[in-house]
Amino acid sequence: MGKVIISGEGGQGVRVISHTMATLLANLGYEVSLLYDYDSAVRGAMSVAYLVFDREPIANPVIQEADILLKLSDKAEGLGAEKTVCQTGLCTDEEIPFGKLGIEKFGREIFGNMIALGRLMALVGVEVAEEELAKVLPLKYKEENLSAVHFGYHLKEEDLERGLKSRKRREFDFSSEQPGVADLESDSQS
Amino acid sequence: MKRLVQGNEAVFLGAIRAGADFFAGYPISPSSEILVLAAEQAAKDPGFRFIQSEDEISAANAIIGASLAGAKSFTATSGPGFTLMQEAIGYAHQVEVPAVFVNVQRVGPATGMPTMPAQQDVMQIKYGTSGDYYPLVFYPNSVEECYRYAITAFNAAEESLSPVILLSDAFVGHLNEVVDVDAIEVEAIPRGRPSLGTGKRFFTGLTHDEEGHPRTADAAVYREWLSRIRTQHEKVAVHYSDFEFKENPSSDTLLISFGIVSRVVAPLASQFALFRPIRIFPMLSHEIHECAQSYDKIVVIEANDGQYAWLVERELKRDIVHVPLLGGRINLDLVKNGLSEKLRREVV
Repeated sequence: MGKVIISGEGGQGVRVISHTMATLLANLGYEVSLLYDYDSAVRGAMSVAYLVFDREPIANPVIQEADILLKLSDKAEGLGAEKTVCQTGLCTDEEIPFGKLGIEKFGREIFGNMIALGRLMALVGVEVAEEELAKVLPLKYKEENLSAVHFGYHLKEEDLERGLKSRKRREFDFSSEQPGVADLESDSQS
Repeated sequence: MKRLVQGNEAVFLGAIRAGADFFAGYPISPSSEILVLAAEQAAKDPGFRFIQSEDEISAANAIIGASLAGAKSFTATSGPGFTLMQEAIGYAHQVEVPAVFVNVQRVGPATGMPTMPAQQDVMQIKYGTSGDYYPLVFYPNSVEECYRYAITAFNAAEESLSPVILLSDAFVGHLNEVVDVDAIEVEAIPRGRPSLGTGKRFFTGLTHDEEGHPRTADAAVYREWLSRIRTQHEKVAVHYSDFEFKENPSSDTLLISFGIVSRVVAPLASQFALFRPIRIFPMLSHEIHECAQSYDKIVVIEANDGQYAWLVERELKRDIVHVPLLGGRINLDLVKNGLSEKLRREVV
């Protein structure tokens, strides 16, 4: 069984990330439960997605402790996980500046969501064929989204450590070996 | 084909499978997805009619009118909207109108906490409108059941010729699970009441005879009507005595819960016996008695301040412990803490 919690604010992409991941897992044959817990304010208020996947039917979809918590903001309280992946500055476990990476690598902050999705898929240990991924990604900017998921999926621990160090210098410097858009496009063509 | 389906979507798809062809409603969290899907259905299917009305009073009366005209009709709302629908629900009982009212519960009273789950409309459903009446009410706890019991609600409405309530809550309504709705087999019962036709007709919320003529001071007519309605509803309810019981011979305690709370409580099956009513009303009196008799303690866990617990206590005529989950927070830790406090032993 895998348990993932994604927390953020309304409008940050909690729904897009969680629903895309849940659909992907469902298409891969898993039993999946995805539950939204959110404040009624449309933007800026607490938004949490609880995602559970398993090969067996899921009894309780309301989880408090996850294997992985993806934290995009500090709005939600009382959520715990074995490993927390967060937007820079929100935790000390694994900080990734998703938005900044989205801009640097793919031209827009919003692609940070797909980088986060890629990182989550890698952390839960589920391999996904590009063909399967393409079926569930938002249609708009599909190529960029595919590349961003790919980028997030292949982030390496050493890159993250280097990134954490470089954050102290107010920048996040991934190695040039990390695939960028051009590399990914050439990958997909081959 | 198996796919990820949302609880509210499953309710809508179940309604369509049941043959629903009219929806009227006013958007309200956490039920609005049903209204949106109905609007989309009307845009692509000329046989399906949709009204976004000016308020819930209008929506409730519109589905009653549509039903009398021959449609299988339904609406979806939440606590505050359901309150506005009460007068129309009473009228539908009086006139014997089959229709389905979906109530996706949120924290109240009034506008309360619009997206937070609750189970605070239990009493409103049973006693919300005036007079004596015997509502049939179902409360699924999964996406698959949302689909199944949407069809069941329409079937029960046609059989009982009454407004049937399908209860849900913000968590069940917004829960996504993997379901193959096409593989779920529930037979849809056809219309139980002929449509209006074009001849002379008369409907009234007043006590009336079989032709619909008011008999406003005839106690015998009223008593006969109420007795017939009660018998009719009890007879139909027997077809839908749905519940889930997980006995536990090593425990002296039975936990009763329903809706999303029953999913949260499920991991405690190794420590307690579990009972989940799916048909909330009429109460599963016989079944609750049968399942409770082997247990010293009965605990009702619900997302309100003891509404169903009070009914169970009255039913079993013994002390009931109740664990309320309030303010939209429903999780296993709160359940364990509540049980530990009320049972005076640590529940882990």
